[in-house]
Amino acid sequence: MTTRLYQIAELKGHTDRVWSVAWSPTGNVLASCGSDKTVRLWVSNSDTEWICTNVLEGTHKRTIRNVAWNPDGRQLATASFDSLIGVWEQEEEGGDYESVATLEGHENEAKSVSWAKSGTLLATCGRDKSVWIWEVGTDNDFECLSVLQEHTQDVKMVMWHPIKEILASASYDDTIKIWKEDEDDWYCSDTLEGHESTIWSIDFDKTGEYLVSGSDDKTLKFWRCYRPDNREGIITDRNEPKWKCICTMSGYHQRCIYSVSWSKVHGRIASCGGDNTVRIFEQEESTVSGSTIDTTNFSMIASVTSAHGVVDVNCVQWYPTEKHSNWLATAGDDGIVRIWQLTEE
Amino acid sequence: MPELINANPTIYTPSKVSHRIITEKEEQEDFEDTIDSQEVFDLIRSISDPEHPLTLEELNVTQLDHIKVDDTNAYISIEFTPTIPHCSMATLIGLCIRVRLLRSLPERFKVDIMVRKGTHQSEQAVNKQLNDKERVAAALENNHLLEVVNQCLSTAHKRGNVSR
Repeated sequence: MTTRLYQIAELKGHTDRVWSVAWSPTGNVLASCGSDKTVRLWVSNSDTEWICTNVLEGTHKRTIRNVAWNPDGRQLATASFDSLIGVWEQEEEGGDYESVATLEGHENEAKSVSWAKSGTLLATCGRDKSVWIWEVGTDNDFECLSVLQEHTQDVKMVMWHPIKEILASASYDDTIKIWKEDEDDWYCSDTLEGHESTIWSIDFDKTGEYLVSGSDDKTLKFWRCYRPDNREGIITDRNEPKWKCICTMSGYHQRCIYSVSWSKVHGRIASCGGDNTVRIFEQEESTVSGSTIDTTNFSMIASVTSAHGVVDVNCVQWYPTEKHSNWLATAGDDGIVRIWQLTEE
Repeated sequence: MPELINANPTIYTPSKVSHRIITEKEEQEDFEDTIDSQEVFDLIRSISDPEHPLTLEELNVTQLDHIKVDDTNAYISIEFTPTIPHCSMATLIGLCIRVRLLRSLPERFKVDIMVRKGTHQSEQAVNKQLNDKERVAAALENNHLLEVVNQCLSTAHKRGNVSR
């Protein structure tokens, strides 16, 4: 049996590079954003027929680098090179999206935005080396709870844990940091070192016990969270869990890896990057071994070269629910968003 | 006038291989143009230095031998040599080279631009910034910076035929 990725739809509308795509929590809407300063929303009539239902524009004066849905599916947040974070809400079903809040604070390019599972916290980051945590109040009132400044360079991406209020951030300083709250104070509980260049993207598995990262060093790294008193004997500090790299995948991407996505439905991992490819990995059945550290292996099960022709693939995202869990969306420098299906033959 | 970073740069005479000779075969319409290091050098040699009325070739910042082109795999690597090891213009020069190639090469090419090893004190930092596409994209949305880049590129079309 072979596994194969094939394209099922090509979404055209953006007039410049597409940086990010994000499925709404139900998977009914796909949002995309990019250098043309717009967010476009796409819905499918059938698997192959997609239409752009909304174009969100006006708020941002420069590239929209990232877009993320509130877990309730009612709001979208955008991070732009104009330093602003935009929050958008649909007035009524089938209606237009209005800009309901604009968050100021970052000194220059904002690069990523992420909503916590509860929908009550928002995290943002940017070139000013900071990570901001915002509390989502009623009436679209966003209050800054903390500005975290421990990264020494540009912060490329923030991503919340799928269950708990724990945040991960990835940086140009080649590290990933894990942030937690202790009585209203946010602090860095762990720094994950090992990548040799900028980390562009991170994603948790559905349990939040594992993390995958994609880097300019052309490798993917898998990290596992070890609690104090873990049976493997991993030493932890200050009674904090310790993240350890359990697997490094090299040789699959020939250039920078820009995006990784870990399916919360079936556990497969997708990655893409500057070598124009999309690659799919799967965790191998764990083998019983005598070693103290439970090393986990991953293997590549499918790939597409030239996913967006001759240009970079900037973002990859698995469909979020059971319904079409074998779908993924990609965004490219060609200004196109593509939908792919993973099939077993 | 602000103080120059390198007030007295060494000036080099442009190489004799100025213009390639177009063969009859190359003039035919169906000829598929491959890109070689001479072509890349011709594209960037006449970019103006940000602080002197001289080209990158005249300052020996760009050299034909430091350009590697793999047309089959659509890959180009360019090393440039700042005039002095603490040159604060190094990132700007690298950005000018990148923009020139973004605007003139077929989009299939992946380009790495680096400071020649051992020629700049912040070599790694400059290289990292020049090869981060997000940083480059953001820089090009800065109108002031774009104006400076365009100024440096206004002589780039001369391809080595500089007469003054």
